[in-house]
Amino acid sequence: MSGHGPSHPQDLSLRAQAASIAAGELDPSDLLAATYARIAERDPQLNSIVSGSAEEAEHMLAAAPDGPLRGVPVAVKDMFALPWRAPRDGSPREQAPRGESGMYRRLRDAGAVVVGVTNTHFWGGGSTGHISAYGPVGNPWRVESCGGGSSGGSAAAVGARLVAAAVGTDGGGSVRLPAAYCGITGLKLTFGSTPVDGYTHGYSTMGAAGPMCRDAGDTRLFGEVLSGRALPAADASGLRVGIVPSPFWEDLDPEIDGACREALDAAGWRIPELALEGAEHAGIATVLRLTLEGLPSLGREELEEAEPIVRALVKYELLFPAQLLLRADRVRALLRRSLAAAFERCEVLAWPTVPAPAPPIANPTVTLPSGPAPPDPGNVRQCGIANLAGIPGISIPVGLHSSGLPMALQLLAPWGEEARLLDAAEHIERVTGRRHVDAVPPTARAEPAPA
Amino acid sequence: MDDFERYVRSGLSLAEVDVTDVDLAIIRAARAAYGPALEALERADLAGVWPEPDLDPGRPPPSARRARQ
Repeated sequence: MSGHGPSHPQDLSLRAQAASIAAGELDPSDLLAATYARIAERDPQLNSIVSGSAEEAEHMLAAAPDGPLRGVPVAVKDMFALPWRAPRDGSPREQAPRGESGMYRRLRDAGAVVVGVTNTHFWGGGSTGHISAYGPVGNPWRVESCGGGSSGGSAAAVGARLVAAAVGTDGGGSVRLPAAYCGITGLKLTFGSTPVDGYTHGYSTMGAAGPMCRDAGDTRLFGEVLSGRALPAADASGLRVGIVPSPFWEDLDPEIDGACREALDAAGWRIPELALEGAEHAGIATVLRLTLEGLPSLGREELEEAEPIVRALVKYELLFPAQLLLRADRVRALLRRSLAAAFERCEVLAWPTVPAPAPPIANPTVTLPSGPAPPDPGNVRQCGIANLAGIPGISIPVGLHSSGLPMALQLLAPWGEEARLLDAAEHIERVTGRRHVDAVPPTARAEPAPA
Repeated sequence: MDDFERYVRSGLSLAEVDVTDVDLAIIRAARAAYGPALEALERADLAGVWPEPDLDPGRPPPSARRARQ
């Protein structure tokens, strides 16, 4: 099969790739070769994949068992140990030994083929992806804009159709935020859904892995592989979807506010307004928990070698009074109880994933009604509550901003209810005619350069 | 040297961590971004809110009724 053109197998969904291989209609060796050709063609402008081993991928393919993803290429965030590569978290140093992480075993046992390790915001500590030892991650919709973080490489690789599925991790929104920036679907699983051995942030009480794909159907299939459990589909047309006006619908780019409301209106759901006690502190409580949990893993020498912004931010974190962390933990307890009560009144909660579209790499500042701002505080405000609580959350594309960049809606569900989120996402896809999930970014429309 | 710079330099000095002028400029920017939220958390009345014992983020809290003691 040709490595270029409309018949390229990486333009197929993950489901179609797996089904075509199982039916004998697609040779997985051809798919693998075509995938590497596409990475070589498109990734130089995105920088989404920092390491790809064709030899190891061929070994995985040769030994692939007859699982649900037999012979299907996938990419993995740089936070998981692989037999041939130690994870580096977007830093120059190895953060854990190479080996068979639990995540690698899940992929291998499903028959998947790991074709690349994806670029990650330095130490996983940012929502933009513009700081990495391997260079910034570009956005498939505009390569000069941020691909997001910290799973930005995974989001950009899926958005540009380099692979149909990539693994991300999410400690403060790091699956959902880059998914929103890149116009793909990203699911943060319930805390504890995936094995943590060989995961560089396995110590965290906030982090959870998650599937990143183009639509909810692929996310369901990949999510089943990652979580090791079935996520059965059901009708979601009659959901009660709660919205929490403050703080999650405040200080938003007006176009994002409008696109998210339009998607909710189109869904035809009952939409009660709710309040969540403690929600105004969710963002800063997330920052405190997330950053302070990581400090004991950090050596002094490594700190001094780090990229200047990251180094200075860690020094700032070293100054946080201990009582603030204890206050954050009280907020966390309050939020978990508030959410449990809210989910007695609705099945899903909804608000925008990010308050503004992806900022430029050269000047990562967003424009909000309150004025220009760095992206991280607003992004963590929108997403961190799911990490504090441990609940699953999904980001789904709901349109394009006038800047040409994607806009996204976030849905949250109770503990263990990932399937409900996927049902809701598929419902949105249906009522919007799939026009948002099937939109093709410019980097995926580009013709290959003449030979 | 203002109070904040003194706080940063002396605090990190106690931890034997060097501070460059670049570090200090970035820390000032971070404080501008996160300082108001940190101060709001510090002022919040959380006296009646107890942390969750044996927290398991993978499960709901034992009882939503005990949000405030």
